[in-house]
Amino acid sequence: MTLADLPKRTPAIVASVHESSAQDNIARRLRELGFVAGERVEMLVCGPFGREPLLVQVGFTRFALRRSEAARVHLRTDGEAA
Amino acid sequence: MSAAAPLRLALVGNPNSGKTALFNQLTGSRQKVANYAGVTVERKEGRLVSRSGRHYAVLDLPGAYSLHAASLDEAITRDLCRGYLPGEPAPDVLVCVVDGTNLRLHLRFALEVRELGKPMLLALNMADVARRRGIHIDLAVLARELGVPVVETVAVQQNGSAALVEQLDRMAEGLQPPQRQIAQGADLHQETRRLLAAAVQMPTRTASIDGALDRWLLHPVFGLVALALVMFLIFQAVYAWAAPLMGVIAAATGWLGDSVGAVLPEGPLSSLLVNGVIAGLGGVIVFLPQILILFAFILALEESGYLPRAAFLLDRMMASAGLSGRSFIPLLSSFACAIPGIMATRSIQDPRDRLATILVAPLMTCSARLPVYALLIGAFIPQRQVWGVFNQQGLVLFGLYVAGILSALMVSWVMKKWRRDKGEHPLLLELPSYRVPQVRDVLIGLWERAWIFLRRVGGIILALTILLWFLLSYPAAPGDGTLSAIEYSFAGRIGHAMTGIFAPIGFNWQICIALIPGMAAREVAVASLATVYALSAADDSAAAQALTPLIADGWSLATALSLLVWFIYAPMCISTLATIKRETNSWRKMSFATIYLFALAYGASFVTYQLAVLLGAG
Amino acid sequence: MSTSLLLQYFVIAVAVLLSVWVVAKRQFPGIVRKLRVAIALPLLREGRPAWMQLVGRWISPVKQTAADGCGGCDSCGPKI
Repeated sequence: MTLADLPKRTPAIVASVHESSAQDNIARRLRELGFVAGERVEMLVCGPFGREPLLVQVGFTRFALRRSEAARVHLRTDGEAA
Repeated sequence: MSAAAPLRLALVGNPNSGKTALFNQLTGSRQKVANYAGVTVERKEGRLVSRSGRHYAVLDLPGAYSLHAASLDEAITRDLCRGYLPGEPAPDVLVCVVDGTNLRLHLRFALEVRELGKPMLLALNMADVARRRGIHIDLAVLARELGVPVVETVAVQQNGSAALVEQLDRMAEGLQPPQRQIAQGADLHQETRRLLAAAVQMPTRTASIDGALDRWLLHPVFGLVALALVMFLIFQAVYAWAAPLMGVIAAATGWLGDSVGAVLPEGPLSSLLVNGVIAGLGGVIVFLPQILILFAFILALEESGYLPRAAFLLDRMMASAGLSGRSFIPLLSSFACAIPGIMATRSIQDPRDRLATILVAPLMTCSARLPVYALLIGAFIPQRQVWGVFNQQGLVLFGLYVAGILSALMVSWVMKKWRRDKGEHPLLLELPSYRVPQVRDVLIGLWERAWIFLRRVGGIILALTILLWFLLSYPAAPGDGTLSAIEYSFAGRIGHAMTGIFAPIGFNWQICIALIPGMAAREVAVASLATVYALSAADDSAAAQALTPLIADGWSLATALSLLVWFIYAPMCISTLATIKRETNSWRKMSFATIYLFALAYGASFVTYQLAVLLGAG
Repeated sequence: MSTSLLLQYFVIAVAVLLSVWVVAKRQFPGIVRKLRVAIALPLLREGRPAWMQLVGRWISPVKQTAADGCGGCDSCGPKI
């Protein structure tokens, strides 16, 4: 499951960030910003008109992400929760 | 001691670390904003003199999330920290500013900076907020584990950076590289977690107020309503609150003109002073209250942390127009002045987004347009209450701003279609904690803005007004002239010549001639009109009348509307065009911007004027 | 021409020349620099009298840190 599919206000744990293409700068930047294995993540708000962007909290920081950006973040599927 | 060369400090840190507030506190008004040699990068340097008398040269570097640069801004920071920036000596000490309430994010960057091996100091900023939230940070442990000195700073408090300066003085005796390095192959995030576990206790994840506010302010419906309301209220306030102050300034200007006219003997000098300088400058200064009120709101919004929320709400709409939500803040800066707005696009990663943002930034209603709009609205839009509560003039002003924004979206959309853009537009925008705007900081910002405005008035606007007066007064009318004296002058003739091109859009020769100095600065158009009409009136009476009633009587509504529309689009600012050239490094792109904007202006004015005449407003 | 009128014309001439200078410096800084250098250079040559060299030094432009395109704004808007 990816962050883009995560339902609202459901905490989860990050497994990894996948590149969507070779030389994916966005994936690298996501990792630098804290989307790393073991980090707690939660989707808080969807944007207007078509549900984008997503307000996401990772660790202690909040970011606005596109669905395509959030889709790179893969979550742990084994009984997660805070 | 102070004879030694100043020690070079570089402030680095994530965006939203409060770095710039700290820079302002350290350097006060001793700042110099220029460019790095040969590169189109804004360079903010200031001087700091510690109590012991030691001098420091402080550089405020662009905020960066990582030394792996994703945008032009970050590339500058990376290069300067490494000492690779051409024309810039390497800094002696790196002061890494981190947000004490979010070390999980900021500390990772500090570790990255530490890897450079340069003498470094960690400034734990917003220490007061951290303490209030119950976050305990053991400074000694952190300093030991990091291997660099750690000090607390509170950039918004009086002596908040005292500890930092003291530490710098101590370090200056003998600079040392960091005492610890990261283990080979170790992960920065893991190291960050280890440091946090050792030195920091965090009771909650984020301030609960952030969550509560975001739940409403980012709500799909309520959020947009709130945003529209805020924008709308700002414009109402601009008119309602400014009116009394403007009356005072207008009265003072009139009194000054009368007094000078009475004291000086009749002659060219009297004309220069009364009809040129006083009428011209007075015509522009009268709008200072409106500009300041608008700015007060913009500054408060910026300080509060609301702006990224607005970017969040508008992102979808902007993305469909081919811009990203990240364009929002440079475009918002352009409401003050397009030049820093265009320079702010350096933080946009995607080069196509950056170019699109640069090309539409001039469509954002900059503060120099405000005197022009205010003049025309004041002369032609009756002062009335609409629906009992709304000021009609404020509504029209709001409408003009909205027109600029919608035009920008449309132009951007056309450009997107034209280049068949199917690519991704990254957003990835941090939403920092909400802060209560500090009244002191807003007031300082307003004071600076007022000074900038007055300097402009006393500088370029004064100079252009004098030159225009000269061109409007000479050569003097011949004895047997039938037209009014002014029409024989250089400027008068030029103005008449220009009406050939501008008559179809309803501009008379006075407007035409005012447009030329208006190319240097839009407000000058107002000053120029004031001078032109003052000189025309001087034929009949000694005292110059206020400009507003003169044009209200002299122009048709169609002309006024056409001029308003002209100013929405026309790039009447050579400095903006020069900035576009510098930031894009391309004559072609600048020419494209110039041509498309003037073409839009002429076209829109033409349609407006002809339509208005057709509907009987001619 | 009366002295009063002469004086007025003098003041006006000074004002106009200063204005031209201000506008030129802001809008065409590159050209102004080149002009100043061109005028100052012959004055600063070896063997010129001291006063001439002083004038030449006064005319020549200051060392250029770098051009700033905006004539009066020092970052006057919101930032990220």
